[in-house]
Amino acid sequence: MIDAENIDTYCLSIKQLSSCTQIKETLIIELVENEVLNPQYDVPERWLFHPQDLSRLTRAGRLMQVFELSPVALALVFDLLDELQSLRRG
Amino acid sequence: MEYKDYYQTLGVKRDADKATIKKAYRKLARKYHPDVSKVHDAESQFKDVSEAYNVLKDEEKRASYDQLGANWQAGQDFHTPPGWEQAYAGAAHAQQQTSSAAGGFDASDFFESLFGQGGFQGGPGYDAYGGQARQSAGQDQHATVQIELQDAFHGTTRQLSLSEPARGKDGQVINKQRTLQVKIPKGITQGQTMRLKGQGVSGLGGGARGDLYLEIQFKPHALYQVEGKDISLALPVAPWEVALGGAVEVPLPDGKSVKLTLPAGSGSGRQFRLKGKGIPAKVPGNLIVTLKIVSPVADSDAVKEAYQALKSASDFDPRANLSL
Repeated sequence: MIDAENIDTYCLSIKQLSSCTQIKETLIIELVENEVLNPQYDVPERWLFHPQDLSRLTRAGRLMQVFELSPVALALVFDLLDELQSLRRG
Repeated sequence: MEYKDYYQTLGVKRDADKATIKKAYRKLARKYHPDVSKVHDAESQFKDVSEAYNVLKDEEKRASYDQLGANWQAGQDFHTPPGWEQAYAGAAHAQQQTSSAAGGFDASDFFESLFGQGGFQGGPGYDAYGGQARQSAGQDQHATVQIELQDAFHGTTRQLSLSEPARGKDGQVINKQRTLQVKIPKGITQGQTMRLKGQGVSGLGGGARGDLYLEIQFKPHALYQVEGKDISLALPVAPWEVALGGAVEVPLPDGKSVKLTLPAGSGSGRQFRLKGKGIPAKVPGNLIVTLKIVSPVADSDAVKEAYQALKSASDFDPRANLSL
């Protein structure tokens, strides 16, 4: 049995995100510039991401690869998906 | 293993050209990609589509696949013809390495028997991945786990199956399966992430493992919708309960129930917030009950008469305020 630790704070670095998802740091920086991901703090070396950005980044990677999206287009896709999700819930 | 008819999967003829195959793939990708599709079973459909495209878009793989002949039916019991490994040996080792973290997909047994192990990437496109996975120590890994809503009330254990790249007997890169038992505590909310230290991927060079990040998702529930810590429920109520008021029993996801007192004159669509009856996190969420009036069917004379009486007594026009 393994003990899991609940994480609900901004605590993941860009290196950790890159390592988990195999997505290059340069691309992660582009995604932050397009507001697909929203870390705290000002420079990439000090960025801290929320765990939710980890799964968001994984989805971003899959969508970009399969649908050949640029970061700019991906930001639009995420906006639409978020809106669709909240419409479906209501 | 089962024969897979890749042409049938993509809905193209056996002599389709590359452009037709690409077009068919793109259309099906839009329909079944799990990140954008609401189709039941989208993930496994998309896996089939990806695999079919991966083979048919590659001239060498397509030629090898076509060699098997056009007489096989999808689902038929299949094994590779004798001498297959020797004929295809070169290409089998050229597979790109994949891991679930990178968005690559696990190949079917059928694919692996024809083209070797190692899986394949999900499709063409934007160069996110920069080639081979780093062969260093301490890689982190990410996975999602689906639990039932009831599990958030009592906690649960889950067995996870993870796949990671490893060296096979002959030095070839293969996908190794690893199972873990994880305890998920009660009070977990939708989208919450848990960290399991030291349970990530170990480096191919034998380095220490990184961490495993688990995202929790709830399976869709027939009755309840979950948003964060709050749970929503459309509660069916009778017209007299709403008009006259009274107590109604509201079922909770953990099997218990709570009494809700309806004030007289509540309308349909009226919402009640039951504080603290949502997910039992440290600060518990709320249960949001929306009333949905359902009327008895007029299937007996007595009920019909009751409706007539109500109609006469109430002088009620529901469409009075509709201006047309």
